[in-house]
Amino acid sequence: MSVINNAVLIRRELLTRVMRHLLSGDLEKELDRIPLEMRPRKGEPVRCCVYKDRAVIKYKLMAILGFNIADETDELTPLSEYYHMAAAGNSLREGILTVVDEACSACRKTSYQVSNMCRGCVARQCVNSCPKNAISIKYGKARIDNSICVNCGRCHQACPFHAVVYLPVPCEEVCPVGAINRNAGGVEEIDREKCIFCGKCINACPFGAVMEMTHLIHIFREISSDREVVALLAPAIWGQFGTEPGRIIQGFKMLGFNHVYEIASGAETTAREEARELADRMARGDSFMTSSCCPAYTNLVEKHIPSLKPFVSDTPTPMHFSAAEVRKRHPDGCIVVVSPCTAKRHEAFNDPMVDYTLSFEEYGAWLVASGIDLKTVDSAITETTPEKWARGFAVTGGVTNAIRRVDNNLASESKQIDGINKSSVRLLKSLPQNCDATFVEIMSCEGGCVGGCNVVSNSKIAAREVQKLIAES
Amino acid sequence: MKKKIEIIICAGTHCYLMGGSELQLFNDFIPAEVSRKITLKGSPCLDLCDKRGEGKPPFAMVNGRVVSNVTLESLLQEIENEIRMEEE
Repeated sequence: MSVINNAVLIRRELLTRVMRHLLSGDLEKELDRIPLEMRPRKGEPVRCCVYKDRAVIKYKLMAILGFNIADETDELTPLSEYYHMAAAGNSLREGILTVVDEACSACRKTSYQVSNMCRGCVARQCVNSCPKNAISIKYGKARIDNSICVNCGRCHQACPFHAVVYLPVPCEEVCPVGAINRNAGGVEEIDREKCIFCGKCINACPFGAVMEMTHLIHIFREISSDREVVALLAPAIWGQFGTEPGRIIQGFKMLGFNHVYEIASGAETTAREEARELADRMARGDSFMTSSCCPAYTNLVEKHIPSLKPFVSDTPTPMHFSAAEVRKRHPDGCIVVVSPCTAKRHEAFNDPMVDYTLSFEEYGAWLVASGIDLKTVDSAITETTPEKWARGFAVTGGVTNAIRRVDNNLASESKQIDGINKSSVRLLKSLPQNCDATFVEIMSCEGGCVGGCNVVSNSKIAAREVQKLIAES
Repeated sequence: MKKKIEIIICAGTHCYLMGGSELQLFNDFIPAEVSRKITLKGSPCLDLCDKRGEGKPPFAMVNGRVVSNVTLESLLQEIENEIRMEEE
């Protein structure tokens, strides 16, 4: 699926600008100038005026510095001050996501509306189809009383002129668990108790109002220090930059990372342990087991489907296994997990083996700011070379394949849930009562991690690249 | 045979990050009758992103002419314009 739209590109431009100034050492001085540079007084505004645009950019920068926008206490606090606080190390938040309330357009509540295409026809199928009598005809046109309407959508289907339109709230629409909702002021707010950190709201919002709180400042400071910094790469990265793995690794080395390892090494362990666990569970009479490597899925079970919990594999994730291995080699090193996933950020935040997380997009912005073109760099080698199939965890079906690699008799009746959304949540809720497979692989993002919320490549291309890599052996 | 229209898509990291990754799907996207009239290749950074006045990445070149801020749709449009110009 395409990930490109102007809201995404603005975020990438901001990341690149921040990295440029970090690299040239003048971020503190230039930060407060970025909103002015991007929206000059005589330039074209995107929203109502350049001043509004600038305010939105300021708050997005605050998130990039690692802050939750809701924590603002004084509107006059300049960005340079936030940079100071971030550099002192006190901005890491568990919440991962923050709503730029200034950018949120406070969409009106999800509803059906009669558009001016209504001809006030004689048939009046809309009126007849409504189970709540919420539609009446006024001044020759249908009108929906939204205080009675239950959004069943029957009138929308019934109207022969397609005059009834559905007005969604895009972030609420994609949230599989109803964790993002309008507050009293009409602005969206994320309920941390419900949020599973799947990150779907980030790219769904047409106003770019949901941002991740990044660790860029912290990672850059570690790179600039004497401490060893290790990049631990999620396998989906091989599909991101249209170039071979060696060059992607070389990019990290050029940015100042001392070592580069692959999470896929941990995926080998996960696959082996998970296969053994599946065999044990089948032997003891369990009806099925689900995968556990997707953190958005395990958060979903934890917070919303407790009845499914006994069926979720207890095997730790590839990230955990690989980070623990790297920690042994570099006990004092700073471990940075590089992934396309907001839920991974949350998992890493709570895993003592990992220090920070970097998204694919942030890596790309850092390269651009450093003037590095991966197409022209030399090819480096990884310090460990995992089994090729272990890289398959990045694409839906990869976990199942890996388990079959370990033991061909296992997971013969398998099922994949490709994408967590409102309807797959319903399906998951019914699994404990009714499951026709012994192994169920669940991926929160469509297509698997290659469809993650801060990938650079179209997931179709990325999946193709990763599969190609696995096939060459 | 008529000379084919030469398309170069910048696959440098900057263009890639700013939406150029989508252009990798160009071959799947264009109709066969257009596909027959062009040669398509990728290139490392064309060094256009740092030049003022050249516009914003992603970049492509259509018969040596720079096209900026290019999308699948806009690139196809540029090629169709080029075909029309050559036919006139």
